[in-house]
Amino acid sequence: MRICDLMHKGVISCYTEDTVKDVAKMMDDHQFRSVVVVNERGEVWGLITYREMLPYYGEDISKLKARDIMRQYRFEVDPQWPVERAVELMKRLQYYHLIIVDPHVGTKWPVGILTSFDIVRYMAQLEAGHFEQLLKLGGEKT
Amino acid sequence: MRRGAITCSEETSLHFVAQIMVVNRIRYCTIVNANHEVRGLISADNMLNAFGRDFNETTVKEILNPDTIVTVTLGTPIEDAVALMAQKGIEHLVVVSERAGSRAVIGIVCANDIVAKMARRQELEVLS
Repeated sequence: MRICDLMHKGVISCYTEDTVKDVAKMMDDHQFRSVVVVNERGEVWGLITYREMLPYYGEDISKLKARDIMRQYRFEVDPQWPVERAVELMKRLQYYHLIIVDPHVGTKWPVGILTSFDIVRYMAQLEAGHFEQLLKLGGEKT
Repeated sequence: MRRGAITCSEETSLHFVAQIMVVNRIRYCTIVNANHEVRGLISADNMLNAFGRDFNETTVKEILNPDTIVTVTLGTPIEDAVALMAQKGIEHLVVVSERAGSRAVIGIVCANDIVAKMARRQELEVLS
């Protein structure tokens, strides 16, 4: 299994100068746990997840910029890597959201994101039609 | 907080826990003992520690560290709960009963609810 088989295609992104309030709204509107911070050329610059947001609860986040709270993101993940390599990277760096960049262009344009939940989806090994069966089994038990 | 929680026992296989998470679209599962007392919480991030093992054979007990349980009660101020989440680097807190000696699960506080509050600038004094 390769990363491109499991990842979400496309990302939610903001610019380094956007406010943290805008980022919070993006997360809330799209129900995304992470927002990719890009520079003016659209290249990956950093990542903001819930963990970066929580310390600013109660503060005036409309005055904070994305670049002030983002986590630096300095490595590249290729969509053709095997999933095992991605999991190893997640565990080693404690990054549970990997931004996947297009390897065929010089710039680091984000093409997708792989999260720990995508790995859990892979671990669940649910096939099409299995959802209904599982829910039915759960219903019978209760 | 979200009242109620989806739970499983320590003997549940990780394969089934993964299915519970996917079917219910949640990123965590609360682990309880036979008395419905909280034993811990497994998140999608924790599940990675078992990657590479046989998911059907590996049980929750093998990857759960009961020493890392972080719980709050209904009376905990939201600011304290958020500070606890930020300090521990976690995205979910288990809300347990305030009765002495009881660790029954009441609900879950999730980071996405906190971020939603930040986006809408609503103030909340206490969790309940």
